[in-house]
Amino acid sequence: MCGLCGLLEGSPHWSEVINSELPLRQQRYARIAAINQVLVSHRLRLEDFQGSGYVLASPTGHQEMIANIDELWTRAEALSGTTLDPLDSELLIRLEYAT
Amino acid sequence: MTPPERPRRGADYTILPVVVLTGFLGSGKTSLLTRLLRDDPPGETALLINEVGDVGIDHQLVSPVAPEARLLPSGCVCCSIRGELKAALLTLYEQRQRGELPPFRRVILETTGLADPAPILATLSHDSQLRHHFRPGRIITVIDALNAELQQRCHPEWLAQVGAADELVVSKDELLDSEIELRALRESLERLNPAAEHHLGRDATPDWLSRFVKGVTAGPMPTLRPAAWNDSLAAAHGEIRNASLVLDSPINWTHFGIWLSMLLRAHGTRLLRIKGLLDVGGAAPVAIHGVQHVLHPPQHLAAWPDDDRRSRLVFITRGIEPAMIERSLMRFMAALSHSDI
Repeated sequence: MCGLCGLLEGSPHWSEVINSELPLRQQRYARIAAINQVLVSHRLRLEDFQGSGYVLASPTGHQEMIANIDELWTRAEALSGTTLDPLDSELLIRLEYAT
Repeated sequence: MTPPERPRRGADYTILPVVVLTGFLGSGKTSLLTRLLRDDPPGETALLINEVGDVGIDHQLVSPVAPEARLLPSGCVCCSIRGELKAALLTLYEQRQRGELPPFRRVILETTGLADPAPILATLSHDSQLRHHFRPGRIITVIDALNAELQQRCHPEWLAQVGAADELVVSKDELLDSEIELRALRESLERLNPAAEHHLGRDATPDWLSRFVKGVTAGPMPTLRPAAWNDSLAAAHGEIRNASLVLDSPINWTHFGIWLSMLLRAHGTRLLRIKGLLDVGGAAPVAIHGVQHVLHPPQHLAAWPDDDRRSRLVFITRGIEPAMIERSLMRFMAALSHSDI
C-alpha cells in the first residue's frame, strides 16, 4: 500500500512482467500510449494515476479508476456502450487508418 | 478469552501443488486416483472431492488410501469456485499448519464430471489468499474410450476438459473392439489438444504423481499445422480449429499483451488452449500457456529448444477462424508500433 495516498497495489498483471530496457515509468507511459491507440476509436482515453493505477475518461468527462488491464476492457465497454473485440473488422480497419 | 491459535513453531510454508483431476461422469477418475495413490505413504496427499448430488460416494472409495479425503459439500466446482473450493483449501492448510493434519505435500482435487477446469485454474492462480499457499499442478483429464465420441457430440463440458488438459489419460481402452478404434481416438485427441501429453490409464503407476505436481512447464511446442489441417479437424470436430501462427520478426511484448488480454476478455470461452514461444527480442524465448480466459504467468526460458528462432503460437479455438486471429494480431502489432513515445 502507498503510505501517502492509501492505494492498495495488486499483484502485477501477466502482461506487465516481462523485463524491459526502459525505466519502469517510461515503460508504463509507452503501454498507456499503445492502449490509447485502441481506445481512441471508442472515444475513450486512459491516463496514469500515481504510477500504480489508471484513470479511464470518456468524452463527457466521466472518469473511472482502473486497477489493471483486465478491468480496463470491462470498464471501457461499459463507458463507451460498445463491445471491444480485437477480431472486429471495423476496429481493425480503424487501426489501419490511424497509422 | 482464548487467544487465536498460532501456527506451530517451525511450520512448513512450502507452496503446495494442487493437481486437478477431471473427466466426464463415469470416465474412471476415481480408478485412476486409486492407482496413483496405491503406494503413496500416508499423509503425503490431501484429496478434495467434489460431486454433483447430495450423497458423496467417491470419497468412501478412496479413503482407505488417503484418509484425509474431504468432500466439498455440494454442486459443481465451477459454480461455487470462489466459496467452497477456496474455503476447503484454506481449512486444509490451516489444519496442516496447526498439526491437526499430517504435513501433506500435495493436494489432488477431483472435480465433478461436469466441471469446467478454467475457473478452478483461475482461482488457484489469482486468488489473493490461495496463491501464497498453493500453486496449480497439472490438469489431468480422463477420457472414457467407449463413450468419448458421444460425450463430445452431446456435452460441451467434455471439450472444455479435453482442451484444458496438460495430461490426457484414456481409460477403458480394453473395452474397445479393436486397436484401430483406439488409434482413431488418440489421433482425434491429438488434434483437439496437441499441447497435452497423452497416456493410457492402464499404464498408470504411482510415479506419475511426481510429474503431475510439477505444474505447467514449457514442454514441447505443439506441431505447427498447415491450413489444410483444419479441413480434417472440421470434419471430425465441427467448430474446432487450430490456428498456427509463425512470426518472423521479434514481437513487442507490451503490444502483444494488450492484444492478447483483449482477445481473452472478448473470446476466452472459445479459446480452448493457447500455447506459444515468443521472441521478445532477448537471447531466449518467453513461453506462454493459457486455458480459455486464464493465462499462466509467462515463463522466460533458458534457451530456444531448437534452431528455429521465430515466434510460434498455437490457438485451439471453438468457432473462431484462424485467419481472423492472424489478421487481428498483425493489424494490432502494426498499429501499436506507431504509438511508441
